[in-house]
Amino acid sequence: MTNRLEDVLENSGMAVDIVPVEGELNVGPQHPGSGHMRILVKLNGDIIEDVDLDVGYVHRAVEKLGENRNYMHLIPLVERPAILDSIHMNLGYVMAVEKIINVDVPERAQYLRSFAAEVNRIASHLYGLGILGIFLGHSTAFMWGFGDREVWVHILEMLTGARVTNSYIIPGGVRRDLTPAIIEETKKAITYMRKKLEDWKKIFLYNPTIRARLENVGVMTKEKAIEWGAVGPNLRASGVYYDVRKIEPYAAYPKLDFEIPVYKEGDGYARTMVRFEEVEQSLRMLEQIIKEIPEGNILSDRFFKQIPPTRLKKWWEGYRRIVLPGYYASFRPPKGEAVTRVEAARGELLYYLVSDGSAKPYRLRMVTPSYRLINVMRNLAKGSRFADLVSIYGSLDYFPPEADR
Amino acid sequence: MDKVKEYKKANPFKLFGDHVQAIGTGIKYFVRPQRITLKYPEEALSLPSGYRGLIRLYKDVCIGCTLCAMVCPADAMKMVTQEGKKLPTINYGRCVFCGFCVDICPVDALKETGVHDAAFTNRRDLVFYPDKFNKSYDEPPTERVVKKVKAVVDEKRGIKYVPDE
Ligand code: SF4
Ligand code: SF4
Repeated sequence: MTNRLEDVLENSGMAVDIVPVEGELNVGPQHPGSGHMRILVKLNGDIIEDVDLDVGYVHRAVEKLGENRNYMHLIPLVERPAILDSIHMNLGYVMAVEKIINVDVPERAQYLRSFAAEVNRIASHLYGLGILGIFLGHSTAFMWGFGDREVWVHILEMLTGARVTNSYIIPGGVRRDLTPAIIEETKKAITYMRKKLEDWKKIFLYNPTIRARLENVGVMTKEKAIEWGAVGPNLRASGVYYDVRKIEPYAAYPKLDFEIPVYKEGDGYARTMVRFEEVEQSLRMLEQIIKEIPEGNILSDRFFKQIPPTRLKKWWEGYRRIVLPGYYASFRPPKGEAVTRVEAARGELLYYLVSDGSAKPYRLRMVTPSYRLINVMRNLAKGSRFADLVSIYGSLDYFPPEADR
Repeated sequence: MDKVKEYKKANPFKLFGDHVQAIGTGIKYFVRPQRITLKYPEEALSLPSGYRGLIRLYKDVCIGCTLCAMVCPADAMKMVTQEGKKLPTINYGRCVFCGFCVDICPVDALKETGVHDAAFTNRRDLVFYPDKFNKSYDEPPTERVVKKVKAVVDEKRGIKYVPDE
């Protein structure tokens, strides 16, 4: 068959010389298409033989800096690697500190933590979908992703006082309470998002052009996903039911009713579907939180009692805000160590914190979900076509600063 | 445990319909666009109450307890001695606007002003010594009219800007 075709071309004078090209291509290290990372691609024709991810371009030494700062100082620092997912970064770290200083968190604060976390998850997934869109040349998805994310960032801004650098969760509770105005805005945002998701599906998810770029691209089988250490939505898209919110519930998750979307195929399209459905589940959770959130305090009594009464009257009764007692300026936790896990938007986030009894941690270990993706991405890209490199990258939702820390 | 789902593989006969659907949605937004870009600086955003913007000091209220300098994660707040009194001074080149200093001050001598936009021509200007730190910092443009708007969530349009005041 091929011979005959070549003959026909030869005879009609349209023969082409196919010169096999081998070589290396340098992608990055700046946006767009690589994130803040250099990707060295070894090509054979347009098949990727090997990729070398040159990570570390945005490394900030968070772990080492952590040994030179006190426990409160670290809250804004640990948020910085994943600025679009800062609530989760903050939450995991604060949970570790709470384990060491052994403090209980009031029920209402637990619900507020879940509330902020789910709002942040939606914002982060929309960001990821926008990036995937622009990688595939679908600029509309990029604009929509960032435009719709703005709605959730607005809610976080009302709740925490900052758009993305929230520093909202502190040891013992949270800093600000949910007000009726925020509840109103959230309800509207949920209605809006549900409606908009339908249009998202029509223009992006069910769009045959997008499906052609994602289906059967970067397929990760269940066994490989486990072997390579994938986490979060990428793991669940390969048919593994694993979510820290269900396996080791924290905050208000034991009391919330939600499902974990799991897909079998393990390709780029399944990963995108998982993210879409997680947004829907997060909307469900937000509704439940608004309805079921118990009344009460948002800071542990142990610290609440230390706030001067005049300030308590002004801030807590007047503005529903917690102010910090002097304890937080520089506290010395007892000796000890703690390990915590939370399900961040991109997957399992692990903290290991060691206290030697001084005001600064002895060691802070932070394993971020994107860090685990480095290995996954390298393995997935091998053997795929060069044009699919961006599909694989985008569908994994890899975020270089988070991986580099 | 929830069940493992499978998505339907693309059906070649539905492809045409899906294309039409995607283009139709595009046309819908072409006719009724959903724009959220602000024409800054003619239109400026007012920030929600409680926004952690630039900070100001009330010099007479401050008791010089140094808590604010101790809690500052970025070493932006430093204490200086003026006429025998300890007062905080802030370096906006370092400040990360976490608001810890405002929250920890036992006498409420610090306040978040909700001013977010500021430009400096010199790095030294970023350091506010107590006298400059003692007033609200805001330099709105004088020659042009600035329309103040605030962002609200709309059920149909997402973010919407409505005139403030
Ligand atoms: S807002 Fe935060 S970083 Fe800025 S001076 Fe206050 S404590 Fe320091
Ligand atoms: S915490 Fe308040 S009272 Fe104490 S030094 Fe700072 S501004 Fe002054």
